Amino acid sequence: MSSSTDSPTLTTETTQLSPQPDTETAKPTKKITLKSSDNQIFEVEESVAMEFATVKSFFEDSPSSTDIVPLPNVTAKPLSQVIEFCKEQIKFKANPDEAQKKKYNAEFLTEKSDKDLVDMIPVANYLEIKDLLDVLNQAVADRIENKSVEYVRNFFGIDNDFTAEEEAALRREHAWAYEGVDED
Amino acid sequence: MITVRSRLIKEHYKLDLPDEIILAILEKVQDTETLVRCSSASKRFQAFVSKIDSLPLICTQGELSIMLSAALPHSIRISPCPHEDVKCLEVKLCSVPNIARCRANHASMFNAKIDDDQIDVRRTVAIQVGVLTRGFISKLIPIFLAKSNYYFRISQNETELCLDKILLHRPKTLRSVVISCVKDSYPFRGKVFMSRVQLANLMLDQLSKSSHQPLGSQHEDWLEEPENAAYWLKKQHRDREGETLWHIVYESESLHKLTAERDLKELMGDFD
Repeated sequence: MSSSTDSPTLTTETTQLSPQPDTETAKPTKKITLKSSDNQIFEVEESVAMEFATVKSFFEDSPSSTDIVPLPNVTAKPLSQVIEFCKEQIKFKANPDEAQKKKYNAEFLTEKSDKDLVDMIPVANYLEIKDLLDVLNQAVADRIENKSVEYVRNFFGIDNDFTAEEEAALRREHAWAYEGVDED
Repeated sequence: MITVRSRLIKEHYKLDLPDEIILAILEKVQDTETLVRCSSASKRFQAFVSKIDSLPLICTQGELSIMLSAALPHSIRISPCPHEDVKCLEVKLCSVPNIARCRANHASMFNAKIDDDQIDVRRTVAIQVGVLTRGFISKLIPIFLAKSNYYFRISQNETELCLDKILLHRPKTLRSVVISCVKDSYPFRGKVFMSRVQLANLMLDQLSKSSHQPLGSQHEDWLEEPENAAYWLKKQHRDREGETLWHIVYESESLHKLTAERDLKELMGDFD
């Protein structure tokens, strides 16, 4: 696991000046403050926060709000990773480069542990970031592909509620599906 | 033989993902065997898998035969389906690469659309006929010059029988079956597809010219006309030499052109 993803993205970019040539006329970038359920404060650029449909509608409902946006059920670590991802996606939106985007997404996903990945899913779901949710779901699907039943159970933390007889019957019925499984 | 896996993931954690998320994840699993295994993880997962109505299947011809024949005596249910509500079945047949070390020289696709009693079957076949070189098509496979019914002989194979079996014993909900048959997956630099007439014209043209002359620009335009059903899957216009030439045949004459093109792209997509 890389260290960069572990450090929460606290108040980044506050010192960053817009490098674009037309900055004189551009408004200073507005910051939005988010608070995770474990009381960490995240200050993100408005453009990043607007990627979160949930946050966006919060401001649509109360446009003048300058309050801190509380995000219950969202803890700091997955939130910081989600913010990291969205920041990059905005760069790709401004400057489309499918190949680079694909490369970035792949790297972003491969360096995450199983737990990091699945922890980000409820966050992406709660914040309604459809692109990220798609990417995460696909990544999880890829990780369980060709794995054993036991691996899948462990991955999702599932308790097996089949009786031994029921499970044996299922395995018999689809015996072909239980061969050539990857090593866990 | 079922092997019990001893090395499991070290971290054990309780996950409480909402149903729709788990379903969304499972829908992204492009491997039916994995889905079948997921369905035996727990009753909850079994219920999720039963909601997936489009199944992809990648197997060899032999494996498909086993799956189909295993189910035959019992029911209208075909064994690749972990449940009976499947609407769409996509079967990709392939040879095991390390057994078949030859280049793929043909590919076929059966596409059955089911509308109650009406079953519309289309067939698309592509055959590799040679490699484009400066001035001529080299290594021309002589069979290309044979009668056109050769192609139908190619496709009168087990694939067709498999389709028959699936259709005969299909779940009532099944609406579409696609079986594509691809031999091997050798790296190709590029592909050109054209119909028999076009290919014959190209050859005649080439014969009438000096064999040292490169492909003229009129050919380049002509090749890329979509209505000629000729595709350059790789858009590297400078570097065409060495690209393989594929001849395509549609079984049905009454096919709508657009539909046929989509089938072709789908079929050839298997090589990418």
